[in-house]
Amino acid sequence: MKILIVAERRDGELRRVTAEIAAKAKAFGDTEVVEVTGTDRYHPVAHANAVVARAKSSGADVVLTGATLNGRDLAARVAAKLGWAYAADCTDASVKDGAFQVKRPMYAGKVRATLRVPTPAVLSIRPGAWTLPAGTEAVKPAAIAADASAEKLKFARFEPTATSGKRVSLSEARVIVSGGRGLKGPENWKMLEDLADALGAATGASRAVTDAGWRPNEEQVGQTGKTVTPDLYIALGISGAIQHLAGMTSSKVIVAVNKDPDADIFKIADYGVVGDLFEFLPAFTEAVKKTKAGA
Amino acid sequence: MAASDVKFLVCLKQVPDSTVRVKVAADGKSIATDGITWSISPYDEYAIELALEHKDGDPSTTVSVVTVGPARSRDALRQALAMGCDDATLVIADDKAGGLDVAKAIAAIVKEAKPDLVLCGKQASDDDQGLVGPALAEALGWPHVGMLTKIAAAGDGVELWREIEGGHEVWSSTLAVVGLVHKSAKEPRYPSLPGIMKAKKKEIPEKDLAALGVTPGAPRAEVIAMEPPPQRGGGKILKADGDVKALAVELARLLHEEAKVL
Amino acid sequence: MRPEAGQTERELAGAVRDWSAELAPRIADAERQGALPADVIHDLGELGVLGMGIPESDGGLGASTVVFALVLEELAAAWPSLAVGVSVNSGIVAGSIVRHGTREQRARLLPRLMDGSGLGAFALTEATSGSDAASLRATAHRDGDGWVLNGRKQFITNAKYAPFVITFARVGAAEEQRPHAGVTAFIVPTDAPGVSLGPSEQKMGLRASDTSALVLEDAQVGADAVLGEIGRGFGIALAGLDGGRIGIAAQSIGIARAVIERAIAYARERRQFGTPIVEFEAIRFSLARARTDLDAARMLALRAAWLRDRGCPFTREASMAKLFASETAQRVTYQALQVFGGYGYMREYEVERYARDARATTLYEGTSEVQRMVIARSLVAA
Repeated sequence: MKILIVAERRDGELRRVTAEIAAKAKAFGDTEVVEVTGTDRYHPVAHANAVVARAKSSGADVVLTGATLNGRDLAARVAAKLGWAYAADCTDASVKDGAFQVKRPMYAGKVRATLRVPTPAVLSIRPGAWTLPAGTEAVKPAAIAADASAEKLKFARFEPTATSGKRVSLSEARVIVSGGRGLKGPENWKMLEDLADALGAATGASRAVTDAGWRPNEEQVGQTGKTVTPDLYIALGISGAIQHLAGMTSSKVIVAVNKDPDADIFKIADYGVVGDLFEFLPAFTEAVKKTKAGA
Repeated sequence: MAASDVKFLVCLKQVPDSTVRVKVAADGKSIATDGITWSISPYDEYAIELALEHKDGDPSTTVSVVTVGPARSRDALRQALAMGCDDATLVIADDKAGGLDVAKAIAAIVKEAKPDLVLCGKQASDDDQGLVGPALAEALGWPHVGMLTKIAAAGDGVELWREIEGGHEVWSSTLAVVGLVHKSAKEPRYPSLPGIMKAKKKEIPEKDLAALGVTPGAPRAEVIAMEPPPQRGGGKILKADGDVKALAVELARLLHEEAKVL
Repeated sequence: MRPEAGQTERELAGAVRDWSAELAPRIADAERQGALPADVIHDLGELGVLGMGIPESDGGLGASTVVFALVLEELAAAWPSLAVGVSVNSGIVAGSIVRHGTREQRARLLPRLMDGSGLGAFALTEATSGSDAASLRATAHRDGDGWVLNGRKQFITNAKYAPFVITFARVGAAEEQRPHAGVTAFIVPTDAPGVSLGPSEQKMGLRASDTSALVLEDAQVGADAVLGEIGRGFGIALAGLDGGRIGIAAQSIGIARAVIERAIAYARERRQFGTPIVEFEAIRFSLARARTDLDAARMLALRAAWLRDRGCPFTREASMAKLFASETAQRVTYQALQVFGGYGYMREYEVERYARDARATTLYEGTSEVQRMVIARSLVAA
């Protein structure tokens, strides 16, 4: 089987998910890693055209992308352009009887499904789904040029969100600290950010919080926000509505702090702290700093 | 974008309501649908809201909705009409139609209705594929913009705000274009009581795939098994009645030594 | 009459249920501050709830009394204080203007009851006269083309939010043989000269619902302020109260439903002696009785509403519904509180609030005793 992998960069560096896919996909057949160049940014039409042209010329049986914002967008359009079978956000894939067998969440994470995807196929793979073996050689993608000059859709400008800074990206973060209504107001986020800084974590929020405008939408974890699978998810003052749980329940370790002992979040937490957030949080941030310093 | 008479077409899908506790059916490869509540998929609701917000500002705007699905989807269209959409079309299709087939069917509707803008939710909250929107754009030969949170008129075209890490990419496009909606400025509105009464009086025309020239059968992924996500629980509960500091140190120790995530 | 409401009626109520579900996080604060947030009232206008009973020809929804009852049940299940405000605005106030207003008055006044800018009020009660409206003391005198009003009205729901208050005052002297003589309904704008509001009452429950006094000191209103005919005000008041009783019944039903739902959820979760307490017969029988009373109350209320919608006499049935539903709400809130045990007594669990709110239902718009009098009178009159 011939596999075409589309690489993706963030801040000039190849994303980890590209390396994860490149390492794992060798088990499926011959791999080629390409990177779309020639445009300043991801262009939904031009990039799809470039990838489709390469897939055709190289005789690929399958196209793989990371299930990132751009990767998912690209994969869907490429699948449509090629008329191939498609599965998004796969958490695993294997080859069986000439077809792919993939696992992926459905119903906003409330179900884990196994799907048969006939080849040729396009799959997007969730970041972190495949662990990167230690000592894996760095990936060196081949450049394929996209041309967006004749496209009617043109990039105009970037409008930064006022509050967002240099923090780790939520969907790829290994540690996430999330806040809910229990934090009582945006002015209390400093406490949460202190803990996030101590952990090197991304910050997330419940829908109640983003709806109230305390935090930007992009921080929302849950059914209409992001689905995340970090190693450690710390839920602060989040009661655990089913829509929120859908977005984070596959995290490896879940810590919940809430003053309501009956909060639903405790049902899925590995470690639960029942008590006052405002007393516990500064103490915990200190304890984390000490543990990290000692570790 | 024209100063008036802008035509939106919003594509929606009826899915289990987000509050439903999804259970795997006896066949082991679908979900149990007995007695569940169906709703418009959340991102599609945002798409409707985004279009209706434009209509709030300019009453000459028309907002049409379309869905491809089983007969029960009529309720979702009725809901959209009650929210304030102008007209609705139901394309009857069963499970045999995959994402690429559905996109072709909607493309046929678009060619008839000639909207200026087509909006879809960025993905339906049942299969979570996010395929139909880009596939529709491809079938029409239109560009698409994902993660859409805002549409603004700009000359003859539009500016489309795409939410990414740290901000928004603003894309300019001529019409027509497909937008895959992530959020609207406000939460989707509730149907008003007069809206519900008005929606009841509206006809919802029904079409089938054959009439639109679509024969289902495009390549697709097929679900062969489903299982609930692994059960969690049985976690350690620590109570902060006494020494908060000691408790904090204990949690940090557990995360470091036991869970090994620190 | 069907034992259940119809499809459309349930859909309308369902829309209000979906909307009101989002209110929950705001209720505790609003109750503490003792005020309904202006944006919530505004949204009720947008939703078309405020104009639900107003005919379509007057710009409203023209919904039946059955729909009105179901919608109030939903509002009360979510937030009783809000339901009280809507009940008064959209029931007795809007209804009185629809039934007795001139074309000019309807065009001028009804939009203000529908647009969400405020909630109308109805001022009958005085310190010495409640349901015994005949001993009313407020007076009205002609002054040129207009009128001058004097008196003090008490326990006026929505006074703080009201653009105007339907105010009952007597024109001319009281007559011993005809206690209702001269009682007239006036539309009194709250910003008219000589009109002021007393401080809001501090109540046991329904704290976000405003209850204030309306003070009339040579209050001046125009000739167009008279609602209906001069001297026929008492009939307007009585007609309004009958409909209002269906509203209180509906609120009581909403409160009872809300606490039963919470009690069942809690009893399933709460474990004692190694088993969820919902397994204990004491709890199960309590829930069974509560739900049976609730259903019976709803049927009484729907019957009264159904009769009213068909133009049949419904005074007795409205009183029965109000009597039974309000007493059910009281009993059921206490039963639910008992299921919650010690937690039920805590502010954090809403049952405590519903129990306080329910206490008002057997008191306002005629106490249980008054309802029994009305029912008995109709039984022995023949």
